[in-house]
Amino acid sequence: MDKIWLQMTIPVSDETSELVSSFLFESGASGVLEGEGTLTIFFPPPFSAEILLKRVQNYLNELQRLGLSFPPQSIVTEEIRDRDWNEEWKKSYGMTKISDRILIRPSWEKPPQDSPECTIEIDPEMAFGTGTHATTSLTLQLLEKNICGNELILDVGTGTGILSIAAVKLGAKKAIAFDIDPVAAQTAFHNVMKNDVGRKIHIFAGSLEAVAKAEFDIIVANVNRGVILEFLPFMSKLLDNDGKIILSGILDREETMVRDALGTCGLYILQLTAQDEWLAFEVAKQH
Amino acid sequence: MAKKVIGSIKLQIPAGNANPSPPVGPALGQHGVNIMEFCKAFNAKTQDKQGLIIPVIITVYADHSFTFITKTPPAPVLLKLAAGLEKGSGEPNRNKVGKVSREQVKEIAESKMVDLNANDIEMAMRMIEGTARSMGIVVEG
Repeated sequence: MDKIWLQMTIPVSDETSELVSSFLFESGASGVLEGEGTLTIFFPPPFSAEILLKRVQNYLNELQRLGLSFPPQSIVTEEIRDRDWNEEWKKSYGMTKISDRILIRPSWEKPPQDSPECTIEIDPEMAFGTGTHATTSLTLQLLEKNICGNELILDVGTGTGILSIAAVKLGAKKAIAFDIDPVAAQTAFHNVMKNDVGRKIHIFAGSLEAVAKAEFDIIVANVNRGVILEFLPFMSKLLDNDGKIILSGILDREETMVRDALGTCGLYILQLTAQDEWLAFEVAKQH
Repeated sequence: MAKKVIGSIKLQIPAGNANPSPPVGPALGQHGVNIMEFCKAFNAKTQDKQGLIIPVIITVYADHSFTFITKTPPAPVLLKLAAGLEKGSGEPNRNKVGKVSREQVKEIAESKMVDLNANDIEMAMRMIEGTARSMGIVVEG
């Protein structure tokens, strides 16, 4: 969270805007914010503000020699410190009821007196999974339906850890949770500790290939279609013969693609649920 | 009743690769948008365009919900793709770094027509050709 970024604001005209932004991406920019007659660009560390400024200025001079015009303002640079940019959103984030048994509670709100058995305390920090998004809600509902007690769970792309925490609070024996993003894995770890389920959930930062061979009762993956299609064969191998896979993060327009991939992997659909433009699949192995 | 709009944010970010770091974090964070939910939706919708820069316009409502539309990649990005280049020329006046055909310019102009301020395809092609010259890319044919 303490990374320092270089923010550079450059005056541009309509005819130079795309050229300048393209040049800046080539120079290592992570993204561009378009304003009225300006581009604000962000360079991740490590950077030399002096070298970047000189480079950009040289390029703008070159475009001016080609006859392209620029507003007269100067380039402004500023160093900004990375932080939890979700702070403002958190002010509007409250408790989310998923079902009669599942309630998601922000860590800064007191638990209600009649909290259901599966009340999950979540501090999202900078990871996905707060219960408010359709995919999280759909996945939690399918998890609730499938957990009877003592299951071994694999949580692919855990984000805040919300699905693993819900699984063990609903009765699962153990969950292995991982995320390719170390910030998300760290966030998941914090949330697991807050919910006092550290003995039942093992978290690591990494990829599915690092998961030891096991036969999981439930594999849950709320990621996206690309990741799901890439890892579906591997997930299928890690699944117990009578186990279930719960998939979400899939857009409704991607349904056919996912159906085809499931068939190829010897999996069939038990239930398909939808909310907004998002789908969730509950699937099992064909016998 | 239509929801009240409190802001409009224009970003350019790599397809399938939005994350909460700048510019997404600070730009959306100040409007109270759930950054990670935007990243998930943007990445899901642009995952087939990996490697391209995608302009996106995000509309933020008073209840902190949001909608967004993506635009076609900027012309320089499409020109580099057509010419097989990683970079344009830093000195387009002196150093020519690649070439594209008139046919490729036409294809780019057609794909960009919805986002360009051009009356017809010829005008759009002239705009793309101008961009190519400014990148040190020669238009042949």
